[in-house]
Amino acid sequence: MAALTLISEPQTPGSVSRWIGVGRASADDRDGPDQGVSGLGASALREALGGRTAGLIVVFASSELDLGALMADLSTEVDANVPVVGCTTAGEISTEGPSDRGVVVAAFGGEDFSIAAALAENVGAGLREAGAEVAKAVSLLDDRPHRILLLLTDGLAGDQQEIVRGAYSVVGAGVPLVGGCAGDDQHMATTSVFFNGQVLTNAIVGVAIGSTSPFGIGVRHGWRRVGEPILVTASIGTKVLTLDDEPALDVYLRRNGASPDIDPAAFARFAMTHPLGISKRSGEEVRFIAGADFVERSLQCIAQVPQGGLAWIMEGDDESVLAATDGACVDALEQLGGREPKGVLAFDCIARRGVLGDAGIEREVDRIGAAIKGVPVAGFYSYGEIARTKGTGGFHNQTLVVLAVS
Amino acid sequence: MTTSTPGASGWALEQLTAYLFGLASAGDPDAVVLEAIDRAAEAMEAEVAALICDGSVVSSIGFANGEAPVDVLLETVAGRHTHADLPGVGPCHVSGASFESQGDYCLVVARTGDVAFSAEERNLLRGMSRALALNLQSARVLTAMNERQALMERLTRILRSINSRAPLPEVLETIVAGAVELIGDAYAGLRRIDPLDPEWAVVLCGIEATPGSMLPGQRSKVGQGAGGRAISEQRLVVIHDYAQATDALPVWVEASTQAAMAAPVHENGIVVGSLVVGSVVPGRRYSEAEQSILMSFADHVSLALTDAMTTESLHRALEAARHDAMHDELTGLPNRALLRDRLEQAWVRGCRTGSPIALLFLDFDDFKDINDSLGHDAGDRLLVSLADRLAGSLRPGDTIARLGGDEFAVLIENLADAATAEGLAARLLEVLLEPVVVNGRDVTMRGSIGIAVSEFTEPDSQSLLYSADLAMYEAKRRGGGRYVRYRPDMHLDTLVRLDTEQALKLALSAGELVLHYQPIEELPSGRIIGAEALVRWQHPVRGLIGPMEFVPIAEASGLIIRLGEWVLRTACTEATRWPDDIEIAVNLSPRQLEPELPQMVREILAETGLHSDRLVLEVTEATAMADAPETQRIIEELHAMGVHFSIDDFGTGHSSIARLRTLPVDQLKIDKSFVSTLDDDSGADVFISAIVALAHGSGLVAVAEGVETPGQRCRLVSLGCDRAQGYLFSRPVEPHVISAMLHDRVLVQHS
Repeated sequence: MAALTLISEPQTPGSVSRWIGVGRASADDRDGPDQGVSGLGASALREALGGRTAGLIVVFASSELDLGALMADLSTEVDANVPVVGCTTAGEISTEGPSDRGVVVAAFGGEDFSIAAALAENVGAGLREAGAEVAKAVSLLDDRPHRILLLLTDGLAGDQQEIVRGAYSVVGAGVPLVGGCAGDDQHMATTSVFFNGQVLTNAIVGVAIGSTSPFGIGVRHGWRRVGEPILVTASIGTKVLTLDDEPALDVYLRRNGASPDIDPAAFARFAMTHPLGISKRSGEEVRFIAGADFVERSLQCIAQVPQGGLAWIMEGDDESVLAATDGACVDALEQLGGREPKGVLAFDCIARRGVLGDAGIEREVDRIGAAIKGVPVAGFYSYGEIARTKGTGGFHNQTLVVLAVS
Repeated sequence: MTTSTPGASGWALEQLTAYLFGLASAGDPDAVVLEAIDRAAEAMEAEVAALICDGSVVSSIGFANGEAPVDVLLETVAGRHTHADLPGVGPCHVSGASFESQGDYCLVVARTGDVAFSAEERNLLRGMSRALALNLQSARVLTAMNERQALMERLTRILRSINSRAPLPEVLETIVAGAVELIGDAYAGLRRIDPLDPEWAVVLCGIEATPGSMLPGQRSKVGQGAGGRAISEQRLVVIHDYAQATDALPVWVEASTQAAMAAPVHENGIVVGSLVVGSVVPGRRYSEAEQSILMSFADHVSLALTDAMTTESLHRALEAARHDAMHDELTGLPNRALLRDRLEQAWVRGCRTGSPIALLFLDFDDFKDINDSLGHDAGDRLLVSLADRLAGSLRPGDTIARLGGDEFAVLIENLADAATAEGLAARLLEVLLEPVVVNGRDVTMRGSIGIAVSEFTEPDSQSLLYSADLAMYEAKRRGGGRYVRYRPDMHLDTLVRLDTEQALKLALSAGELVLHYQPIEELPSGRIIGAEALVRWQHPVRGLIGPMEFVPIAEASGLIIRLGEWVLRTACTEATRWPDDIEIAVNLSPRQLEPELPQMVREILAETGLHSDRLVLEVTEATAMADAPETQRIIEELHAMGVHFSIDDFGTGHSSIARLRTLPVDQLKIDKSFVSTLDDDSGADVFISAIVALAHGSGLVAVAEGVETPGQRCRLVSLGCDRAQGYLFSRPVEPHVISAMLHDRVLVQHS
């Protein structure tokens, strides 16, 4: 594992005490064969900056873009000492709505913010250590009463809960963790993070943000239990071998009313909207089923499913998913102590997008915009969401995480 | 996310089940603890959790950089408070459960927010802490077993390298590396007391994380630091909080040593150094298991050192054995084996260069007398001083060897001419003549030397030794005190002798030896009262051979023992076929008068059933008269068995009348040289009359041998001789003839 840390320089005098700007550009918006993706990044960045000087640039970009060119593009527009971080997506979210094949840039500026960013590479061998490593950025912040650690991770690098545990062991309960796992437009092949001009796989980025004003974090999923609980009779980490002493895949398909002969591609689509729920003290957590072993008849989740615990088949629909969107926004805003948000970051699970469909996500982003009263919003559809606000667990599936910055 | 209070007790059971699965999947105690606090916090949705043991935090979650406020947590739990303001976390609900597991443990969880820990949650935490106690214990046992396994494997490797006689430094490095690997410390080293300055110990080999802390050759005072104290106190020394120790080594303090321990190492049970490990991990404390591991490794160092020393002494012993195998123990001179070797080498060199070599074979004259009169110790001392003297008279490069007994050989190379060898021989004989003081007495020794000079025409080098030996015998034969050069005809004489010896050996096995018997008559009645057994060799080619031709050879070669036994057995067997008042006389060689003789006779008598008083053993006058207590004892023992003794050839040697009285003999045999002169009136009858008188005066029977004429017999009768034997009555005859004679009681006349 290699790590690199950047600390943002003081802001330009004369700027307002803190601000957030969001810009968006999409290849789909452009007409004509020559437009391509050239200049998309710069265009989105200019929109986000609005002529101001930022202390942090956060970029969410489609994995289908020429990412190297995009990074080069952004680098020319930003001072070298300003952290430019981000990740690839399975769809972008901005004030203007959802998009694909695009880039969304959020810029954070103003003296009230203190910012330090860190990168850890080759994290696969030690996710916990990598999480701990980037979390050290928090200790580099100037004295601010409110601090969070933003985590952007390679969603295909391994058990993301380990990254959260590692970061938590360093920052402790006093600093919330928030963020998402990079996507790749549902190819499930290569997800990347960005760090100052570089496009990296098997890496994580941590951005410590200190502020004079509070942050609020909302976490909701919008799924509900169906039927009787199932006992997890055998599991190893994120793999579920048996449920109720039967092969997990068979139980899962039967309880969901799906055909036992479903082919892998159809299974992937089906599983995205049919997660497992596991029992927690204050309800249940959702486990995204990323795949299955059709020979072993096991289920592969992307977060741990403890052996000996109870699980449920979960279902969701437009209404429940959108209700969760509203709830997450309300929860986040509530924590601002009555202050107005300056901007919002949203990390929304790709599975929720699967339930809502393209029209549904338009409505979802509209409802976020309405809930946060039109302040700038930037986000992406992700392969896993991070929000540790209570307890020690902070890795979520099929969930919407909203970070409101006042 | 919906928030709901935990429902039925099913929830707690479910959490506990998942928790137990989690603990069971963790391997070592550290992983168990980590899993326990992770899962406890997760189950309770607590932000922080900590495991505290005896006032220190073992592990925690949710405190920035792991810095759990142990005092606040303990106070809260001890005071049964349910709230606390935890630094970095804020106001929390707190719950804790204590348990005992090699220490006082407390598992604490705390969470922010409004919801206090329910009774069910507190019960769950208690269940979790109990489960942790159990799992911790079994994980410790498992880890201990794994450690034990690793230790055993490591020790086995070490033993293998000791057994395979790997070089000592390699073995020691293996041990030190093993100690570092198993104990997991930054550095380790082996110190050994400086043999030249035992106040100091020197690092023999070391493994170090911090440069300079364990450099080989580095010196430290014995009695200082863990390693130094392990030597002076001869026990395991453990120092925690190293920098605070009064006797800490400055170089180790500089290297940020936090803790160190050392165990003494021994060589043949004596402390010669110590095996030391040191840690730079803050708060490092050595467990009992680690202490015993170090002791184990130190024991192996001791084993390796002792073994290496044993190997070295074994090596020295082998060297010594090699020397011993090539040298004479008494004089320290080269022995026969080494002489043979040097002779061979000299021969090869001589063949190449053409310069002759000579071999002198030296034997002291009458050395046996010294042993007999002064004792073997005195004889040995004499040999040593004479050997020194001889060796001192040689040129450098010449070899003198003791071949055994009083036999020596001198090898001379690059000989100018034969005269040089003779000059040396003369000089050696001369230096021998100078008196040596033994037991306070001046002893003068003479010697005989045989010289063989090689012109490399012999078949091999060793024949030179044989030639010199022959020449020496010739010198002896000529009276000793001289040197004789070898001549080829000496060789021929010996070859005949050797042929005979070999053939005799075969004859004995092949049944070519026979006994003839000469009757002995009683005077004057003429009645046959006994017969003398006389051995003959019925040679397939040469015909019948008399004893004079082969008995001396048998005596010289030692074959006489077997021959004598055969004669005795055969004669006794034959005599059993005779009338039971007939005596059988058998000649004994002086060499048969050994302590085993009475037993042999007893067995033969028992075997044959011959009554002991029919057996007469004849010994020569010289044998009987030798002042040998052993001979006396043997004769007495046989006499006690009822066996009679006869002194053969009486009158040819010197007899002591006093000795004759003390010896339990029964007969004197008058030598035929006296009898044969009876006819010519040479005054022999005076001698015979004196012998008869002596015999009668001593209560012995007088027997005349070699009676050939009636006149002789007549004189013997008149002189009072008791018995006679000779050609007048009968030559020695075959068994069946004597048997017939005895049964018929008639003498068969032979023409």
